[in-house]
Amino acid sequence: MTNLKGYMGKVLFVDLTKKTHSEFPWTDEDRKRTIGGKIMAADILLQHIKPGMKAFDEDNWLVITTGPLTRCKTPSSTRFNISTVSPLTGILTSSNCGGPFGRRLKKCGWDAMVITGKASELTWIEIVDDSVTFHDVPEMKGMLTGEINKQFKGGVSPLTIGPAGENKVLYAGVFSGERTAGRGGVGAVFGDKNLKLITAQGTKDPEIYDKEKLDKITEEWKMQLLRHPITGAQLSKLGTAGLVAPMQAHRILATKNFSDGRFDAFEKVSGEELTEKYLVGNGNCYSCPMRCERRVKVDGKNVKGPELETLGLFGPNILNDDIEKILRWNYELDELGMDTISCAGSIAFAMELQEKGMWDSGLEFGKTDNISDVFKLIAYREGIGDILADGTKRMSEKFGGKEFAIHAKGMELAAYEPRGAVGQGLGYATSNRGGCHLNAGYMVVLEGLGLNMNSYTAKGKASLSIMFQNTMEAASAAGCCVFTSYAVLPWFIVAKPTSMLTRIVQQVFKFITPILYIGMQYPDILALNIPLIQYPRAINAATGSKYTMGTFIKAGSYGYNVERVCNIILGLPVGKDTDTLPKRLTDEEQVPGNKKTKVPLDKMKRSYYIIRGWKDGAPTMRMIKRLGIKLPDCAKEVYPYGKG
Amino acid sequence: MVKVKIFGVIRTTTGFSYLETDAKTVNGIFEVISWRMAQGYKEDKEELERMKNDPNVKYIKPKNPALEYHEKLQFKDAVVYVNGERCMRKGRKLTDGDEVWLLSPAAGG
Repeated sequence: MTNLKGYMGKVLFVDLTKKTHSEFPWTDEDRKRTIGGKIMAADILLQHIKPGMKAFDEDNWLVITTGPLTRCKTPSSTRFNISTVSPLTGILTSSNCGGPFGRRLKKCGWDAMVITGKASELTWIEIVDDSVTFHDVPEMKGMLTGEINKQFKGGVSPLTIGPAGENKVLYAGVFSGERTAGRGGVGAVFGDKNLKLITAQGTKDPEIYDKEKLDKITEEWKMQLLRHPITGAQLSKLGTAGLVAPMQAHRILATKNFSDGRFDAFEKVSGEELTEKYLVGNGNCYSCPMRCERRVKVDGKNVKGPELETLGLFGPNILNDDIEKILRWNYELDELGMDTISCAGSIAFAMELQEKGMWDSGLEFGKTDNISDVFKLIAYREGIGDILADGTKRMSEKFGGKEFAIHAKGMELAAYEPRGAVGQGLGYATSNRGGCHLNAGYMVVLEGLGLNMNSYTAKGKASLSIMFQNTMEAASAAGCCVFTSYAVLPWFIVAKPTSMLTRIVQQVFKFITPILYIGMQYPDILALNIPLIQYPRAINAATGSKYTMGTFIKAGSYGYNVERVCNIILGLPVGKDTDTLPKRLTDEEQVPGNKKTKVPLDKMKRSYYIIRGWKDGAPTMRMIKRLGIKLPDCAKEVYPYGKG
Repeated sequence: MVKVKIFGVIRTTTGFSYLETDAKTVNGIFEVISWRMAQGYKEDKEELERMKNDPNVKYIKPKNPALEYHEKLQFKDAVVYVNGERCMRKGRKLTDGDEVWLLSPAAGG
């Protein structure tokens, strides 16, 4: 139980082997330290994982968590998180989703659930308030995610996998409504555990510590988001797809397996094209005023449209300029239950292998008639699909081409070509879950898309990346969509790109490292809250906690460091190979003859590690003690600085 | 003539995706767009028809003058690229054959 409001106070522990359930111990001290969400999940897993643990081990835990703001009406705070040992990367993955499952789980009285074991038959876990029932559902084998959704009515929205999850495609996702926890292969872990779906139906609501204050903050926050040129205009009018044109302009639109940052036919796969010709409406996650979801029609059905990543990686990155095909592929991949980013990245890599004569898969850049068939081959692990289902890294180990295998830590990169925004390159390399643009800290928002900080300089990038990584980590832990963090950049700076004030701010960013360094080393000195950063104020009003801006960001830092420690226990090498990018991005110039157009990773990493308090990519014992991380006994055997 | 491509919220605000103009500076382009938008606001059917038939204007739809708060901010504060390079000066001179892109600040995931 808990004395904090906002939380439900209980964590569900489910054993699929024994078909039993119990309550997992989690205290208020734990809640305060981790906030919730992905930090809570990492903290739980830190005390469970062992060196050598693999994703498909029976005792690999799936940890599904919500945040203290999940079920509150604060903007875009319906998110939930799934963390586990990833089959794709072999290290920790955390996959976030805006579907309704998190709210439903919390309505049953549970803040989170931990799943262990393996069921002998395909299983449905049915949660109704405190009761948990296990159903064998062999008849659901092979069902598409949409078919599973159709089985349930009346506010029961399942968390489910498709055929790709059942067949352990290493980048299979888990689906809640039409939303996906897509990255890292959490769907394959569901499949390995014979877990087809979970439903949650409850009757409870969290108590709010100060409802009047939370309502006031919610209104202020909504206005802040709606007034902002990114969260209030671009995302609602064009969705994330609206990034295609700015990325083209800024040379960061990944093209032909990241061999270039511009695509001549970009307008045909742009957000403008999508909006003007195919959009039938907007959608949104619960309580989100940004409404970035695109609704389109495929075969007469009103379905969720593609995000920027899907447009970019199934457009320019495979030299495809047919947007109608991308709308269809997006739908097909959702139905089969796969992450579009990793799937597209694997296909682009196969196309380059084909072009170089290294693997005859029949996949060619610009040839797109066979892609739908390839999806099925992947989902059912047949023919070339069985190889593509293992992702880019394993393909490069089999066929060669590591220098152009576009992944970080085994996870395929998102659609931002980092040689046009080198800070984003640092983020990709240091991101704990691998080549994720958001876990990276999303530096492109400063490097040309939102603001116009020099995108080719290493100056200031390490400290800014860390600050954004920590802030987004904490925002996500609260249950919020990380898109809300863009509104932390004041609207009057973002909206006036040529104003004197904006130019000054952009210059100052290059020299901000000493200030951020002090702030990050001694976060407690930031013992205040400001309306621009709403998260700690909202958490305090919801729960009765006492977060300040400093302690909130410190919680983000705690999470980022715990995830890194988990990764090292799970076998992430420590040293020069800890945080890397493929050589194409670090050694080859994007614009031939222009030395600036490659990622100066080693230079940025040196600063990054110093500011983080890491050595060779691992948190030092001093940092571990400062943050209060409880290093498990098993870590002391493998941790490089375990003896302090 | 200068070719102007318009993207993002600037496009949804102005209603134009492409135009050709003899504007001599980036600021001159904004004046042309302002004038054409003003014509659109009047909802003058003849003018709209003329614009529809103007090969230099790809017409989308007239905008309601009751612009939203952020749209007021955005129009003349476009992110500008001239011939593929970022341009920070609205007074930058343009020459025949230049291609100008107008974009709005963006982010996502």
